[in-house]
Amino acid sequence: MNNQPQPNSAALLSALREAQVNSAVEGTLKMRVHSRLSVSILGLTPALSASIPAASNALVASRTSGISGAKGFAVSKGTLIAWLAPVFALGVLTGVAVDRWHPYSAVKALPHSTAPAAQRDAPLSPQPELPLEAISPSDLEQIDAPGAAASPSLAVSAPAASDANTSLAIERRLLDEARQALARGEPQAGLGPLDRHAKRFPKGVLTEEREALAVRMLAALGQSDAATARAENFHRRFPNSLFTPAVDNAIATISRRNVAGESKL
Amino acid sequence: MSPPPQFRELFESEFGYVTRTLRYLGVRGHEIEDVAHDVFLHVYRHLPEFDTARPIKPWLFGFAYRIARDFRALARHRHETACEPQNLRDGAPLADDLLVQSEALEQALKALDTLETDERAVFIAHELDELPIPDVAEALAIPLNTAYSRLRRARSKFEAAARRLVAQERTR
Repeated sequence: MNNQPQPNSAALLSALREAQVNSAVEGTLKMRVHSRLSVSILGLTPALSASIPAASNALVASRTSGISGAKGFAVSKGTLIAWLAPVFALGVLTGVAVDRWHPYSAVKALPHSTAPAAQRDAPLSPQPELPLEAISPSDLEQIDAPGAAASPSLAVSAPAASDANTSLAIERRLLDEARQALARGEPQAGLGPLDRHAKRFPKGVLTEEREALAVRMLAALGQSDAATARAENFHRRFPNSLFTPAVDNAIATISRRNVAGESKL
Repeated sequence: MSPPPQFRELFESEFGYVTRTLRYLGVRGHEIEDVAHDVFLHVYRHLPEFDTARPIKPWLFGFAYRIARDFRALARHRHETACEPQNLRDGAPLADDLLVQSEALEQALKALDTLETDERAVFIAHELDELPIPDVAEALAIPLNTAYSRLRRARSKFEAAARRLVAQERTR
C-alpha cells in the first residue's frame, strides 16, 4: 500500500500536527476535570469499581453493544455530573450518590489475557436512565448481571479467581467496603475496613485513596478534630494529591456545619 | 520493574495529549470535559496494572478511543450532535476553543469528520502520534490486518475530503 499520505492531505495533516493548544481553555478544563475526579474516585460504588473494563488488552467492543436496546438511555449523565459538580464543590452532597450515575456502570471487569478474544471484548455501555434516588448498589449489580444486559456481548465472565486475590484486588475490596458504608450513610461501619487496610497495606497502592476516604469518613461522623488532624497529615504526606479538593471539601463541610450549629444557639 | 507513574503527575503531563486526542477523535463541545473525566477515571483505576516497560501514550490512546467511540455512538443515537448547539453550558470551556483555530485546522477537522470512528483512531494514532501500525493494532486491540485496512480506508477518505475542500477553495 501507499506508505505516504497523498498530496492534498499533507497540508491538512500538518495543520493537525502543529495545532496549538489554547492554554487558558486547557487550564480551565483541566481544573474542572481534576475537581470532578477528586470527588468521583472517592465516591465510586463497588459496582462501578468492578465494572471498569480491562485496558488495552481488551478487544474492541462490538458496534452494537453500546447502543442496542438503547431506548431511554441517559446520554446526559456525564452532563448531569458536570452540572452537579459546583454543588459538590459547595459540599452540599457527597460524591457517592453522583457516581451511581456514571455512564459506564453496566460494564463488567474482564480478565486481561486469559479470556478468549470475544470475551475480552470490553463494551462501555450506558445504564438505563433511572431517578437518582431509585438506584442502589444492588440495582447496579443487577444492571451488571449478564441476564439483564441489553446485548449478549455484555454477558462477560467475572474476573478470574486469581485476579480477585491479588493484593490490589484485596486493597480495592477493603476500600469499596468502606465506600459502600459511606454510601449507606453508615460511616462508622466504614472505619473498620479502612483500619484493616491500613494494617495490612501500610504502604499499599491505594494508601492515598484510603487516607482521603478516612477524612471523609471522620467528617461524616462529625469527628471534627480527628478529621482535621488526619487531613493535615494527608496534606503533609500527599502535598500534590488528586484528592486534595475532596479532602478540603470534607473539612469545609464540618466547619460550615459547626457555624450553622453555633448560629442556632 | 519501576513503579507505575503517579496518577497526579500523569494527569498533569498527559491531560493535553488526552484532550487533543479526544478532539481529533471527534469529541467536541462540552463533551470533552465529560469524556476526559471518564478517560482519567479509567486510567486511575488501571494505573497500577500499567506495564511501565511500555510507552504511556498508546495505553492512554486505547482508553481515549474506546470511551470516545461509545460516547459518540450514544450521541449519534440521540441525534445530539446534529440537533443541539454546542457549548451551551455556562462556565464550561468551549472545547472547540481548545485548539487555536486556523482555516487549515478547520478544514483538517472537517476532513477527519468524514472518517468512521474506528478508521479515524487508526489514522490519528499512526499519522499524528506516529505509532507504527503493529503498535496501533495493539493499543486498539484489533488484528493487524484490520488496522492496515482501516488505515487504507482512512487515508483514502481523508484525501478525498481534502481534494473536495481544495476544490471548494478554488471556486470561491
